[in-house]
Amino acid sequence: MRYRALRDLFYPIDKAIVRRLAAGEDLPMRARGMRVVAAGDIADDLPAISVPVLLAKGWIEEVTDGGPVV
Amino acid sequence: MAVRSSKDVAFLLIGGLDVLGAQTELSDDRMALIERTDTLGDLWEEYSFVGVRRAELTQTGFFDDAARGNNVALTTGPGVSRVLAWAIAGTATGAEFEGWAGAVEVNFEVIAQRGGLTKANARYVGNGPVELGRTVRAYGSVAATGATTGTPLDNGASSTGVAGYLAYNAAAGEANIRLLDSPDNITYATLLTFAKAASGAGAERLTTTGAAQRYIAADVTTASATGSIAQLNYFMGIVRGLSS
Repeated sequence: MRYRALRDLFYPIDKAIVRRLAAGEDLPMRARGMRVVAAGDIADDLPAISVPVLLAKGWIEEVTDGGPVV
Repeated sequence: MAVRSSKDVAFLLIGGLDVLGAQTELSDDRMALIERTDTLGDLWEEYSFVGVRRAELTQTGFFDDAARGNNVALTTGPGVSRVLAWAIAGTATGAEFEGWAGAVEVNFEVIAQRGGLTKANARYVGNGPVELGRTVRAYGSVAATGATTGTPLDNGASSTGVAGYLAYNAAAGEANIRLLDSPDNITYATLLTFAKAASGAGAERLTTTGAAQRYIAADVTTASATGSIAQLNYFMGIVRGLSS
């Protein structure tokens, strides 16, 4: 799924890191390999576990036009 | 209960300048302004809080003319109001700090005495809120630019209305420093963006009346206009709930 960031977003793209964070492990920010997506840009690699809460808070919106991602 | 001592005073940052190393005593006094309200027939004095508070900070220590140090911080006053941050509870993420939105330097005293080291004392009066918050990023040097840093702060449930404090000093270059928040400690977003940090020193307090999520972190990225920031030292803290 593709989403447009409505705020600057920072998130890990390594699924193993995401699983460790989701399990409650507290990793330093520098160890997470964070990707930065600027507000207005589109991402298709957001951590799936974060998507529902990001949609609920209005931080992202779903994109369905099939266009390019950042 | 944690008993604190002089070793736990983590930093004293005045306008971003680190002056702790020259201090021997800090006295922080916060007062409620009250008005006497007892009337005829009352047997005892009575007072009511008028809704306004006052804060004063007195520092006592040694005269120190090191670059970006005590003397540089204070001789451009009195009368100057600076963002001030200091901590009595250590350096850990989440440790308590006290932030002054504005500390007006009302006097600066230099004492040279026979047979003794030259002393320097200063007194400040609060100019705006004086508030207790939590350390997001302990004062110290940045090991590398272009990357987020540190361990996030788990600051409890989300809230509405926060103040963010940034105090920094640097030898060269520029950097963009932001306060981030997250509802799940996985995906973060920008909560506050501070003015570009540049060579020298600076401090800023920013506020938002919007919601701040549970997890808080700091981010530093190089601003490319004049090259990578060098010898950057900075502190970031957050205060939940705005008093003004």
